[in-house]
Amino acid sequence: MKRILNYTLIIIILLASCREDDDIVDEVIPPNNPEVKSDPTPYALEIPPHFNRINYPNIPIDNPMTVEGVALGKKLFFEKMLSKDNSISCGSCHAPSEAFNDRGMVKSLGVGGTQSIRNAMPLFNLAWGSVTSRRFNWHGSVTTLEEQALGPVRDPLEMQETWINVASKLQGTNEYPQLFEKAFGTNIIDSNLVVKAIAQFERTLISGDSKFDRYFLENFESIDLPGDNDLTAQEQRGFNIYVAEEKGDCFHCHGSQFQILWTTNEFINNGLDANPDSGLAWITKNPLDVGKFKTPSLRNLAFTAPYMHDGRFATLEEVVEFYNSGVNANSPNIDGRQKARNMNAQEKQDLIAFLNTLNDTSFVTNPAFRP
Amino acid sequence: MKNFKYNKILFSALAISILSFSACKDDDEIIEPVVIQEPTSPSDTTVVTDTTVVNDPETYTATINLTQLANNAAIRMNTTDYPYTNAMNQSFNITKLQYLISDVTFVLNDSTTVIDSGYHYVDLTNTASLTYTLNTKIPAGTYTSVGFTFGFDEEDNVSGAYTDLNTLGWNWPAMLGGGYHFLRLEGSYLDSNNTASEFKTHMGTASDGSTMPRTNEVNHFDVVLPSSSITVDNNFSFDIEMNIEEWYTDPIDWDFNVWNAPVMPISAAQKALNSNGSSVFTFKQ
Repeated sequence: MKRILNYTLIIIILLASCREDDDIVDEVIPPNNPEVKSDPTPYALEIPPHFNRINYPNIPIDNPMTVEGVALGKKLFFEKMLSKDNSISCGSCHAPSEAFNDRGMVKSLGVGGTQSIRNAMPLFNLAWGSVTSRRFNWHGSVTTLEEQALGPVRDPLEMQETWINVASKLQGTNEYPQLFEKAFGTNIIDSNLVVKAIAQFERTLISGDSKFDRYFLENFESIDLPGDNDLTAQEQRGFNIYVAEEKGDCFHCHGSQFQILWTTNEFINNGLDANPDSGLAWITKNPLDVGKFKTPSLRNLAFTAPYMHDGRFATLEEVVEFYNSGVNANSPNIDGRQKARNMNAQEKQDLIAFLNTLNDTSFVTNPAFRP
Repeated sequence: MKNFKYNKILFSALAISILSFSACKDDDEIIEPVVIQEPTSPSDTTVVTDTTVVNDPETYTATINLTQLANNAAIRMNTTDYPYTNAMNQSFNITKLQYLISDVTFVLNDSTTVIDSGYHYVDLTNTASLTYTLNTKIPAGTYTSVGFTFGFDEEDNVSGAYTDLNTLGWNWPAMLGGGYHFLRLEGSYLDSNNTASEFKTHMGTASDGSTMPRTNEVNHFDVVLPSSSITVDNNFSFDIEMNIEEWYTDPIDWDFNVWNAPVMPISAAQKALNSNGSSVFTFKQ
């Protein structure tokens, strides 16, 4: 039963949706839009070949990806009408140029300058985000991307708007009813369809073209690529530290080269505080989950400072030194893997050099992800 | 992984007396050739073939319950106290238990075994993983023993080959020989100062760092479950019990003060787990 890995470059997600209320929708098509017909085109998700090393992403059967849905989702992602005073969009705190992180902000500012309680997470490879942990957000508050997108609009520290108002504002425009008609076969806009479109766009945010990805493709998948894609001696030393249990011991939570997400998406307490934030326990009400947060990917770290759920570390040097010598061993539910690493200065630099091979410049410059 | 291994001897042995339409004959010694007759009407018969018909025996679904015992009872995880004791009288508790088995084997006799070449990952926090239904249907018969491979054997322990295990980050570092983890057993123990300290008993390929380059040795072990004779005449289930304390004794008493974490790069610790592992598992039906 040897599992044969299939290196198909493009996996077509077939459209399997139909609506039962098409006849009702026809009655309310605005007069300026008489010919709109809903026949959305299936969206071909371009998955890098080596991503087939892990389980296939979860695409909800009730939200198949379509060209029209993704385009609408992108427009909505950057739509400021989602906020109370039309001042901010999702993209305001999740900037494409920063791997969809908030431009160095420790904690993002919502409408009127209210401060969020956590660091905005970067957004990439989210289609795989539920493959292991089945939970999104730092504290695991939601189980699907669609559900996630509902939250910020009505969060009193973020967009501070109601979904009824959002739907009403979008409905009152000339363009949005047509775009929903094309994507979903109805021009009646509601929160359910808004978050479906945004989730479709978010699933296209695939980051898999870092220096290490090219090294992996050449050395583990026998795919020849242009240019020199070898790791430097220092980067190779850093990788060895990363996977050494007696040194970095990073791989037990963040995975190694075959876990191409560079996270297992596990929720753990890494020992930041003796008296930690409740974390996952806020959702599960289980005292054993106090202090546990989602393990973030190590991709694109150059674009996603500051680090940790509360953005407390400004640099990778601070992060590595925390794991090396600053773990609070008395933190409740601390992960068993958190111990002093005993890395010397050279080893810490080597580790950071390796981590920087996971930066994907083509992802943060991809015009398809810009408004 | 390995192809389904099934010895045809089993079939021929069972097939000897299963010749249709010959059961009415008293004088077996004069059957030459065996004539198979198929009625075409209630009063008429026609010779349709002169070859022997071999009927495969019935096959049945095997369901394995993976159970884990400590102190002769189902283990308790994440306790605030230290309910268990190893052979060196060190108290410990358990916060994580994950392991991998493969190649479940049913031995019929000296010449015949049935092997299911799949693998199964167990995580005690995932209830569904505590049940393992074999893909291979097991032929009827009375088997003398049941066994399996703990971890992956050399043929199967291929780095990066299993998408579900990659997704879990279950890989074993290439510089330690690659492949996959076989076991993660973690918790806290009370050290020589009676202070709680973490242990992480991880098992995989044994890698010796005293040589340059490192010397890596396969480290899986084959288990033949004691007293595991089993008669298969219907869909069936049985338990494979892991007795936690046995990882830490017989023949090698494991000292948490010496081998807490890391143990992955310590060849002697890896081999100790291999030696102790042979008495870890018991059979129950």
